[in-house]
Amino acid sequence: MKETRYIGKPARRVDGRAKVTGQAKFSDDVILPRTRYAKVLHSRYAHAKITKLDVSKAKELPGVAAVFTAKDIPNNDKYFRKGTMGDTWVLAEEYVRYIGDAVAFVVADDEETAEKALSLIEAEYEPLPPVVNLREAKKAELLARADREGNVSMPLEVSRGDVEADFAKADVILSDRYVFPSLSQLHLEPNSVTAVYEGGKLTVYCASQVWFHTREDIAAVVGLPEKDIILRPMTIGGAFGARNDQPLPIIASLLAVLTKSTVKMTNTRLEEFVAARPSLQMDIDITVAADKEGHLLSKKTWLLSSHGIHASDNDAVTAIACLRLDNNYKFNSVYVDGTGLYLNHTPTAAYRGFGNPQMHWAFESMLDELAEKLGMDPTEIRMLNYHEGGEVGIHGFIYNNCGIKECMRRAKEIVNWDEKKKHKVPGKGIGCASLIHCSGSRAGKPEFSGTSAWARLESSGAVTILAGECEMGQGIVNVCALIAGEELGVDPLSVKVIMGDTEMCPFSTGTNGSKLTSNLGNAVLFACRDLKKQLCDALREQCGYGPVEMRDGGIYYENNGEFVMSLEQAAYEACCKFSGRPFMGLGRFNPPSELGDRTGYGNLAPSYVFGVQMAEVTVHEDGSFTVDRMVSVHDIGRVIDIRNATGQVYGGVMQAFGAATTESLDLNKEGVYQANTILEYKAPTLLDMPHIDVGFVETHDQYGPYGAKAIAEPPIIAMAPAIGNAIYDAVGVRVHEAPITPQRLREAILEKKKRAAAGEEA
Amino acid sequence: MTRLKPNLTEVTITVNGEVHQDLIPSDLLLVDYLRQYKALTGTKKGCGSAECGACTVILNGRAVYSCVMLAVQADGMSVETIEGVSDGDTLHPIQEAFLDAGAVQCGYCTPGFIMSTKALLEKNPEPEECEIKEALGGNLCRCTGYQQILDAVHLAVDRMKEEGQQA
Ligand code: FES
Ligand code: FES
Repeated sequence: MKETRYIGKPARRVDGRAKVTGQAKFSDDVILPRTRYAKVLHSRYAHAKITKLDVSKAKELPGVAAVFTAKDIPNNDKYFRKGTMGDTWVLAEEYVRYIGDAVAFVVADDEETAEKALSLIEAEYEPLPPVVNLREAKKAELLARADREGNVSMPLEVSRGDVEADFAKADVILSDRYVFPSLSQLHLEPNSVTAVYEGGKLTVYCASQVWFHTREDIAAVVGLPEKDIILRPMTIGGAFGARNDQPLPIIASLLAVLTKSTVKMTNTRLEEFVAARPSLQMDIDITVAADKEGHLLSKKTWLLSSHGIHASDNDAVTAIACLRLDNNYKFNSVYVDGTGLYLNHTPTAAYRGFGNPQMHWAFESMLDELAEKLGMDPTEIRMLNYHEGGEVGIHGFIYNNCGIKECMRRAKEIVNWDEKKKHKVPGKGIGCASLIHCSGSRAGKPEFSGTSAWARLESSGAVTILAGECEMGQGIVNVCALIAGEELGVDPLSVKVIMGDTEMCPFSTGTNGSKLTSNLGNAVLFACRDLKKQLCDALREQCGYGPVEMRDGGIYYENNGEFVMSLEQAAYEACCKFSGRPFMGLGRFNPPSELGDRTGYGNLAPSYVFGVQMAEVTVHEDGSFTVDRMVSVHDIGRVIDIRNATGQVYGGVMQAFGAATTESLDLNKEGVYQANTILEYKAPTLLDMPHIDVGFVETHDQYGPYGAKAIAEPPIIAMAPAIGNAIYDAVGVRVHEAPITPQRLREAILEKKKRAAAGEEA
Repeated sequence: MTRLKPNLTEVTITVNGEVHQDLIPSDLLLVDYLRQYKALTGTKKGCGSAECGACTVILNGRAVYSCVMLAVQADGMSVETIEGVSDGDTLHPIQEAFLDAGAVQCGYCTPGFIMSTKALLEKNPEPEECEIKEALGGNLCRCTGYQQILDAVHLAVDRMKEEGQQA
């Protein structure tokens, strides 16, 4: 590994100081003059016909600027991005189709008046039975949407290899069913938007993971050309996939245009539950075929997933759930039948892991069942079936490197796996699961792969990186600053990173699919090299210094290494020679990746990341249990920002722990979420968190900057099944539906006892 | 506290060491008083219902959720917000520790955590691990998994002890 000055070393975040002093400005911190406030009237029914909607009293309230219903919205059905247009609407017209469906908008002088006006709207409904369950949705006896033939929003069927032949020669065939709940990403900062309309131009202060897509969405709905719309990114209080597709920036923009004013909207926490974009619930049946040595031969999967009421990112999430995991093991053949279904709840979308956690919950649990049946250790059956670098996964992933076996060895060492397996303690268990994900993924966006960046050197010597992607807390600004620091020989903390401002930054397809370290990292690297070359060329030729090089914050003669001048001075001299122009290095990275074909086959990313996660648990007879420790070991190529990378793992593991033990957005029969507050949702607090050990296996990735790969999503992917497997190891009982609540575990334990008793009697 | 109109009240609140006299609606929440009247937007509103701790401020030495307190309840009291923790140049050791331990990701929870930590260390400069967990148990973070926040508090405790500094 090349010696580096900043890469891989502990570093403070460039955006840290603003965040610890309260100076960082989040969307709701935007306070502009003459701002109006808008509120949404949401449906209280999951499915109903609107029988009365009278807004006249609301309109008359002093201080109310406007009230809108569906008929007032131009292009009411042309909502959201190109792919989903026609599937969606701005305001409900004849029917409301989920709790949280928007029925009317109020724009008023202040927030209180807007709220008061909402209460004056007279809305009456004739309730219809909602579709709230995946299996029922599949049966289609009830329809979630009267405007659709059935409840299927997306079918996907893929078959590779000779599945039947492989099943015919199998020694073991095993089937089971698993359910993984819909989850709230629960980014702590509620969505907030301030949209300023003036003279045909719109400026929007908000959060988004996909700045240029959001701009495109806004343009389509408000009817302005994209060049007249500017998105100004605010500091983002977490996103985790949820801000790939958020309605609020679009609604606020529309209301600003319709009322020709400045409109601010901020979601309440309740709205963040009912009208946001949670993850997809999945109900998964798997049948797996193996030979007696434990080689995986084939697998058939039937998957139902909740898309909620309309298309969003959910199509892509379901597709990834169907396919990605298969690439992690050496299958001969696979078959999958996936069905995305309309249900009467808010549309679902991405959550860290993008469908991968759901399928990992199912298959990584199944793999332990298979290991038991074959009398193998769970780590052994995995090791036997992992790929090596240089191989190709069954759906077309090309592995230029693969550190998964090393991850397994390291994780086993950390938990002392072999010892613990040998000396079993009653009630204690240990479990593992492994994972695969993309690094630098195409992320399903058709336009292009990769991304671009500028590195700007001003006459003052200030270095600024400009990129069209998104900093949502994950720390990509720091990765950019560290790379710029390393390449240009400046202190990373002095580097300014501007992300996502659609007026100033290069176009991008958006921040998802764990793609930035690979893609933007490279773009920044190339931009810095370009900048360096331009400056050194200018100094050599136009300024007459002869051959010089740039390092350690200064300019040095190439031949004898002597100091010429500081970077500040060089920037000034070169800038003056060129009539004041700043030096702009431009970098672009076009990774060797492709969109999958119609069956999802293809090399979606330049590189892939792998990991092994383990959990230790103590289970009591009554079903209560504690997770005593979690271990997460990842192959992420070269680590660029060690503190942040570690923090990503802690955070992702925590979210997986929540999913495994407490979190879920279950619906009741009326289509009401059982959890509508943070307390009810039971997100883990500091008091709940077990100890986490983090390990990195540093492979060298030929495409990544300095050999680096991604880390944002992987840590959430396989910890839930690791915990489930540990519980099985402890008490021989498996809860097939996450979260594993004490109640569910207790029922499973009782069930097992009952069966044992019946067996004895028989 | 002088009552003027039925819904307007005059209050005197010390905010970050400065005395403020204001005429405010009696149902104004403390968090809104700070954010809207004082433009101290470092105090966040993550839930508005005492569930996340993003709005934590220190009121007469105690960490409180400012989203479920009326501003008039702070009349005659002293409120400290995140903006008052550093002097505009030198950071407080707790802030330094949050930076050095990697305890900040999106940063939305950070002001609340720092205020809860400060309130704890002012009372209890050398807390046990369980005391730290209890003091910060009402602050939610969705990004960090808490481990580096815990590290940061330990780091701050150690450094402040070395320097003989009080929170
Ligand atoms: S905003 Fe006060 S506790 Fe969440
Ligand atoms: S750092 Fe994002 S919520 Fe704590």
